Amino acid sequence: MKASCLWSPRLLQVPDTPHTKHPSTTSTFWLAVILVANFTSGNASDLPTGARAIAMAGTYVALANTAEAVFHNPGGLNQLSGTEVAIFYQKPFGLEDVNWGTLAASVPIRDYRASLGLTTLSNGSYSEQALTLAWSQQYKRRLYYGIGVRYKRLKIDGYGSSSSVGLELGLLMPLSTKFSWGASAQNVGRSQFGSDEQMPQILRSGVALAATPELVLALEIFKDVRFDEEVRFGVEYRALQQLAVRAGMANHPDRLTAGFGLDLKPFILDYAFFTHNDLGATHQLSLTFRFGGVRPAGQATKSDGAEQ
Amino acid sequence: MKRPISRPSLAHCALLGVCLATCGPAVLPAQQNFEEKLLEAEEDDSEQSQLLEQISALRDQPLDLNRASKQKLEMIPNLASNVLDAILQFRKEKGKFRSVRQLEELPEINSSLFEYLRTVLVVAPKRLDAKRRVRASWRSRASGRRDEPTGYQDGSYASGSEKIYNRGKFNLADRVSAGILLEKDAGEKRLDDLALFFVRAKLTQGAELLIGDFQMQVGQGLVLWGPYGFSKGSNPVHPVRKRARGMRGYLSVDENAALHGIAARIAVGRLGLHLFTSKSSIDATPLSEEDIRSLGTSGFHRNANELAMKDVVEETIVGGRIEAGPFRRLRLGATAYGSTYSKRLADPDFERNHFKLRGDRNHVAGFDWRYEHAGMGFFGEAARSRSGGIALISGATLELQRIRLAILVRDYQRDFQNLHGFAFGEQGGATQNERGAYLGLQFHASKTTTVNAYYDVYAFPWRTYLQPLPLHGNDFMALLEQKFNRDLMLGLRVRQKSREEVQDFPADQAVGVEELVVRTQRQIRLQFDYRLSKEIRVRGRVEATRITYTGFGRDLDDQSETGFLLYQDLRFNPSPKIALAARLTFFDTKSFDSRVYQYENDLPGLVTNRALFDQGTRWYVLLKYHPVKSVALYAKYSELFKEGETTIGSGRDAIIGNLDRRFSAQLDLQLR
Repeated sequence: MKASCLWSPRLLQVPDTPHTKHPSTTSTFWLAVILVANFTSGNASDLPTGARAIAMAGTYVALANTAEAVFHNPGGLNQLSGTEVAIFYQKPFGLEDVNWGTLAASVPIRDYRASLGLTTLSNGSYSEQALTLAWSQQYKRRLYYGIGVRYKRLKIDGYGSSSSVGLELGLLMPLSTKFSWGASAQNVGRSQFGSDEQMPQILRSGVALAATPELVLALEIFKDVRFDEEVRFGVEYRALQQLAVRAGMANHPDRLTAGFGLDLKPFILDYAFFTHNDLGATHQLSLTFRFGGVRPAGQATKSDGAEQ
Repeated sequence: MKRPISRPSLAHCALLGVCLATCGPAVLPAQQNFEEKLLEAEEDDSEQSQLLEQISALRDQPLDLNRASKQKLEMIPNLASNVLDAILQFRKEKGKFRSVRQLEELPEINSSLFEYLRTVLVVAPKRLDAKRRVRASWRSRASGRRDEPTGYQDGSYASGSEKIYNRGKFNLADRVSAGILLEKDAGEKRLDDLALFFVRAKLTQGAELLIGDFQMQVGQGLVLWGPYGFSKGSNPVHPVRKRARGMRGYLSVDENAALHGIAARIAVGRLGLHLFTSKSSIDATPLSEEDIRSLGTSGFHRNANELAMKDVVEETIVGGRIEAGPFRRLRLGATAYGSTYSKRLADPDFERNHFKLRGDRNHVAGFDWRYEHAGMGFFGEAARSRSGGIALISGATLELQRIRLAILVRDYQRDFQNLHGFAFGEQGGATQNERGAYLGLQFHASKTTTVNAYYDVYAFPWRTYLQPLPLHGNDFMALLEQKFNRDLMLGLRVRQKSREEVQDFPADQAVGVEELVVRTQRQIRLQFDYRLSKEIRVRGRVEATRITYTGFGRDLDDQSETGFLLYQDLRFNPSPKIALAARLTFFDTKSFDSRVYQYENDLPGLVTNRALFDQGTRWYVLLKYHPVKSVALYAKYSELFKEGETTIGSGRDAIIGNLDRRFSAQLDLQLR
């Protein structure tokens, strides 16, 4: 079994694939490693997204109640009631020139919800963009489901570009007033990327429990078909009306995460960091503009501190 | 050569998308779970149509709760004897049930049992006029593969990978019944490569005659049984309480197990007599003009080599059985048969097959007993073969309101030789060279909590074909089922299987020394079932397997490996006419050794227990459409994808590429 992509020690192996223009600085070296590792394994679509999700070690499939859920579980989006826009930015491992950012937006259309997600990973010579369009709906407030289409394009100067289209599915169910379950599948049709590389196929399944109105516990299994399954665990505690603190841990590779959220209506600011044994810490921020609220699937999501 | 992988295959995505956004069972959930628990034990793909038949026949034609005899009710799988007694007691005291719902009034019946019983029992308004009732059914099934293995393409086999199955059944007022089966396996040329039929008639009140292909199920299966039986599964009590069904028409696709001839049953008072004679042609590996090496079991006739083994030897059997009882609650039976073969069985491999049946004849005789009283049951069978070898099986069950307990001991001597038995054990029903003790427990701790567990200790006192030493093993399973509310159930299952093995690990090949190790397989499975609404059901499962080897005085940690499975399953019944089931599975195992199994919904009559190994995904969609009462249409499409592989399978069954896509369709017609 291979190890996981971006998070993995595999990044330490210098690959024998294209070099970038300036292999002189450490950061560019790491950039090359990351990009090539991601490129050779398909792409970077499994880079972590959303500061709130990252702070909880990525346990977001059963929560999925912000616009950024478009990257995790389109099924959860229908929990939102108004329009929401979120911007996320990360500088992986503090590397110069590497920028990973996303934009997510979600709007209600009658009983449905349409959402959009944009991701961009860039450096001088390499760029990768993805556009996700998702459609979400709910059934009797007992089943939230969504379907998304993701179009992805990558380009390396001197090596040309390639694109691909994948299908995403998501489900979220409140099993009781405190307990919800979510599952999502990425690239169910096994699209291929480039001439013969598969886009990653991912299946996630997880639960979230509102142990008290302030405390949410989440557990998730994340399986990329190419890598070891990850078991993720995350906690969110609403310490104050406007402040939520979060932490999480996950394996394959082992990592710890933490972060907080500030609710400054109508803005929400989320911060997260995670550590990697070999590559060090990464900091990231999400800024969310929320016009409306959350219609939670069961109680589990009512207590989502900074989300209220 | 790497085969180009297809582009997004949007049609499939869309199809799956629709199904995931919508999806459902062809069967009620209670029934479904029950079937899975019994059948998932079979760790391979097989068409155990007969096992399923027994269950699905009841579903198609439920028993009349008020009028069914005790014998008929006993045939309901997994019905504890205390529940049966309670039903009979109720009928005795109160006359009859007004509706099936009244079963819930019995303290012996909890809600999950009720959910199951309501699928197999009905309260009929009046006795159906059985005298004129005609029932007939026809089933046609075709299946094929989009990615054909090389053997089907390069002419190694006589035809393509399509498989065709046709079966008809007829029943007139329960007095005359008949059946016919025609099957062509993948690669075979003739549509009637396997052809079976039977006619069975009730001549008078106590006399029945059967002509054609048949099987005899008697006692505990030490002397005679069909090719299939339940073995250890998540249901710890049911497989132990074997209920023999006597002579039966044979319409299974197991090709070399049918008896072919005449059987008769005469009953006078408390005595019953079975007599039968059979002359059937069996596949075999020829050794010379007069000798054969072994009897064939695969049933494939796809090329000249396999056709040369077809019907090589003729087996003639004469046998009979006397049954007596019930004397109070005791039933006794004695069975014997003798067989002769047109060619001598002469396996030259005396090392690995020392105690295999040799010569041109055999006979087996045995007696069996059953006693049931007040929730307790005792049963067993003892048999002796021509070689002098003895086999014994003896068990007891205790069935009380909240607890069901089963104990079974077995001792099949190494020289007990019988080609027609099928009994409880570790070797797929084989009744030779095994000793063991089994303890099974089902405990309804509360209305919402059920614990199932079994422990089995066994030994093979003589070497087996693959293993050069006598070996020991044990097998433990515990399943905790917790109902949180009407709609949500969580199941946690742990299983540990340990068995001694002689291994020569690749690392030691230079030395060429084999050593005795203990292979331990530990499995943990977490599953939840959620009924979202009347129409929609979802299930999630995660399972991990770890294989470890323990050597004697040596560290074998580097040999251990893990397997992992995660699936999401959705079922959707938008109307009584339409049902959909879909599943997406991700699996990841280091090798075949740590493979994981998943029991799948399939076309009615098929059992799919798929072994998944390496890294990959699998998904399927199953559709049922019931346009009118007498017609049902089914279709299934599945895809297996293996990450990073260039071939799937090996030899002639190897697929070039990393995709295995299969489709099948079935038509069921029913007249009643």
